[in-house]
Amino acid sequence: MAFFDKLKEKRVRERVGQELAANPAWKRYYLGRSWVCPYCAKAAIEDAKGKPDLMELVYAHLKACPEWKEFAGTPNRPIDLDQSIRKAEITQFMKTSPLWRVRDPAGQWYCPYCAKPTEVTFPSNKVNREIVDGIATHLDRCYAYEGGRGTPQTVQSLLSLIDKAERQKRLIPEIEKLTASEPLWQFKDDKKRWACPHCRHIISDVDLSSEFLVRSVAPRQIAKHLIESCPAYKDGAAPQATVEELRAMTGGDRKEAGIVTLSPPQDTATFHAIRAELDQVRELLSQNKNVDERQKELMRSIEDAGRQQREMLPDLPKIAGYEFEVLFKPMATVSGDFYDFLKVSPEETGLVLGDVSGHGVEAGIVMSMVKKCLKIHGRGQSSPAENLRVTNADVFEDLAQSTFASVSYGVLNTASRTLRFSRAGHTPLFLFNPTRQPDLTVIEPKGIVLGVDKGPVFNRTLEEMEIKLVAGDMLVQVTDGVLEATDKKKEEFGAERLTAAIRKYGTHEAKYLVHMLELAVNEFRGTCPAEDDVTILGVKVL
Amino acid sequence: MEISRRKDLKGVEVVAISGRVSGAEVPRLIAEFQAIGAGAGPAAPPRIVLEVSRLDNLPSAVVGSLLEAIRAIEAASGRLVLAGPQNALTVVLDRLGIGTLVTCFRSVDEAVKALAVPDASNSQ
Repeated sequence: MAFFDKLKEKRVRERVGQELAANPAWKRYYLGRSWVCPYCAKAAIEDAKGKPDLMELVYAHLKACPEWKEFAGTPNRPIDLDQSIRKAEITQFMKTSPLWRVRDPAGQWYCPYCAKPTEVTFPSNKVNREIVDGIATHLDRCYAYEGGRGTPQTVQSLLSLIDKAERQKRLIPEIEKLTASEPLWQFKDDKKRWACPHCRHIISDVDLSSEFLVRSVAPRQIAKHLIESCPAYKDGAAPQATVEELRAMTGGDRKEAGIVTLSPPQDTATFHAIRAELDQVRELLSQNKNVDERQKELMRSIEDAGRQQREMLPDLPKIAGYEFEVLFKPMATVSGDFYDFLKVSPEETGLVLGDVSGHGVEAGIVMSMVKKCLKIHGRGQSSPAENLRVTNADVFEDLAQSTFASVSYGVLNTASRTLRFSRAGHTPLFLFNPTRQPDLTVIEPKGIVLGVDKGPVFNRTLEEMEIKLVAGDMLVQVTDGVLEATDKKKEEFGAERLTAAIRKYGTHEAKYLVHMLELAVNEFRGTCPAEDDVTILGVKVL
Repeated sequence: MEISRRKDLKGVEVVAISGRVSGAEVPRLIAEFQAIGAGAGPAAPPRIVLEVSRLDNLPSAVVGSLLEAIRAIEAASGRLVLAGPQNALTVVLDRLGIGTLVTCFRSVDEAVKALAVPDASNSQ
């Protein structure tokens, strides 16, 4: 070898030694053992840690590595190497360890560290890139994984958890029936906590303080108690306690204690509001026998319109890793408030909440038009601002000069866990998470209502914001019927009371939060009548 | 809710709205705004100040009619502005994003001064 070649090789070896000693990108190991080349990102040297001749082995690999090019190649960043290594490790674990393949009967993957069901679903053992990416995304935010330093569960413990979860799922419908009809299952103490007819204990986790909780939350909590902690419960066995025992135990003669009373099982507040209004209309009609057929026909048409509107309300989305809940409480039979969930793309869901000025039939017609425009323009459009711009241009000409619609529109990307959000004159979005700093953020990009400007001002004003979501985030949107609800002193509920309530209940599930916000508004309003439609949307990031 | 009207010396009409607009009063206020808008004509471009310093709230259901009145008056080369809006009103205007479409002045005096026509000072 010529002198200069030897000199060059010596310098390259020295450089390799220096990089190995000081460069973080050169200190990446697959499965904690095999050295990963920063250029080709492959596990190049097995069991490299602690090898005395590591520098020589690395040098030998580099000479054969097509990406190295004697340091002229572009090395990967440590963060990218870590990502590749993690995915390679996940693939390896999935192939070799039963612990990493534990799923429930529906194929939902359970994390071997936090032992929780995740948004990753795969029915067979076949592993593909999408599954590995999903698992990597979960591990990135898994509190128990700790970058691989956490303690994994055992297969046995995961299967036991799944078994309990499945038994609870099967039990819930039965408990719903029992708590709705069987006195033995309806006892609560003076603090409105449920009395278990199996173990004869007061179960503080089961709150029966409202009809909503009894119907919607309690059955799940009761199932959890029976399966996980009740010392007396056995599958299929009848409770041992008697009604008399439970009455004595709960102090059934005390105020608030005793048996839960449930009204007939009509569900939504909307239904109650509409029914009350229809009762009023019927009463008026019966008082005035001279009301002619045309008026009756008109009332039937309004009722039909209201029914049609309710039938058009979308179902709540079912997306792993997220909870959705909506309260929709119209003031009149036909509402100007509206909400919708749009399928933007396979990984994007549009969240729409809007309010047309005024209420009644006219507002309802405008609402339908705006909602449809948003839906049509929302397909494949990831930018909420762009959708609102096109929708405004479409509806501007058709709206009466005194009519406008405020709309908030967010596009939730479940792959990147982000929310792109715009606001056309609507109330702001509230983001709460006690682990964030600050815990509550009011997200209020600029924007004016739809229908008051043909385009120039609207388009120039409209802003879009992107929010990176993390587990525990609670997103809350309301219509102005919440903020403008007034009490007998003529004070408005306002943003301060709303944020206080969000802070109080925002760590719970979305369904509970929305229900408690409704209770807070009702309690504040007291006997004062509602003067506007009320809609509340809650989204929890799991 | 109280509504009163007076013609300012400088040819500007001042409509004072005060108190709280209840749900039942919304139609009345909408009718008031519609009347203001309907009165606009190119022969006598109206110059109107809505004095709202003692108005406690502005239901969003009313805002559409207010905007309609502003448009009708501006189409007739006139002007309709707000004077003295308090926090409760500016919050609503800000939320709806229509601050740029509604001109506000801190007081009636400022609004009248801005809308007055120089040779109209002795028109009454």
